[in-house]
Amino acid sequence: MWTSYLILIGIIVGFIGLYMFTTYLNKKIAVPESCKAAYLEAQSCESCASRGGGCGFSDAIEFMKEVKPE
Amino acid sequence: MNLIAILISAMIVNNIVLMQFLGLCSFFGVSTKMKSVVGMGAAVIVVIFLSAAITFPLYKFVLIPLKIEYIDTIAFILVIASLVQLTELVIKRFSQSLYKALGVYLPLIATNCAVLGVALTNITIDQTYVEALFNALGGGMGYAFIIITFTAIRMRLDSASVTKALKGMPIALVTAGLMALAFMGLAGII
Repeated sequence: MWTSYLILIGIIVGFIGLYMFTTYLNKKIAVPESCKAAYLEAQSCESCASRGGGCGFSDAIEFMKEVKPE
Repeated sequence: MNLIAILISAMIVNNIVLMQFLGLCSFFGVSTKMKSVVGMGAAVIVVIFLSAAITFPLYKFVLIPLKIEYIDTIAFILVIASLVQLTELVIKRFSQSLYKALGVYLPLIATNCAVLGVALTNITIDQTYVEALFNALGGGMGYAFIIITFTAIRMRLDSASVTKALKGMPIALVTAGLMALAFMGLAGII
């Protein structure tokens, strides 16, 4: 019984580790200078940005503070 | 069902945006400039296809034999997010022109529920690996087709005289609703 739990935890930890590792590697390689303008333009998704915020967690918190009733 | 029928079914009849209502955030958020949506559509096709190519065997040959298929959603989310990071990294490192055209949209796709939706749909249908790949390819092509069509309509609406109250996102939502109604007419043909 414990073996199945260990396999489950091992697999989930493995996937999380894989994600963290690929994110780390991706962040190490900077966006090429020639692509910076295109990169910034592409990130201007209007679904969230149209109300003045962004898609980040901190932006969401700020937005929630703004709409919080008195 | 033959492969062409699967492709057309996934692309038009069971369109992921208009029939399954997946990927609506980027659908409304990015559909303002034609240049952006062509890149976004191509990036979605690549990511959906690659994620289906990995998640389908992962489910059949790892999760089912280990009897942990109930973690499919969390496993797929992590695998897709890792895959998007890896794809972005490789494109950024080896081809700047490809990165400019496709890669810049990859961060938006990492959180696109259309990708996860296709991966999860693939495992619920009784089909082979090749059929799953065609289903994913059709799903991605359907997304690209609809977002390009929708952007063309939105660009036309920008120069049309629309009531002030409906300008912008409201008329875009009405348009998307009408498009979904039109696509509902195709339900059941395949």
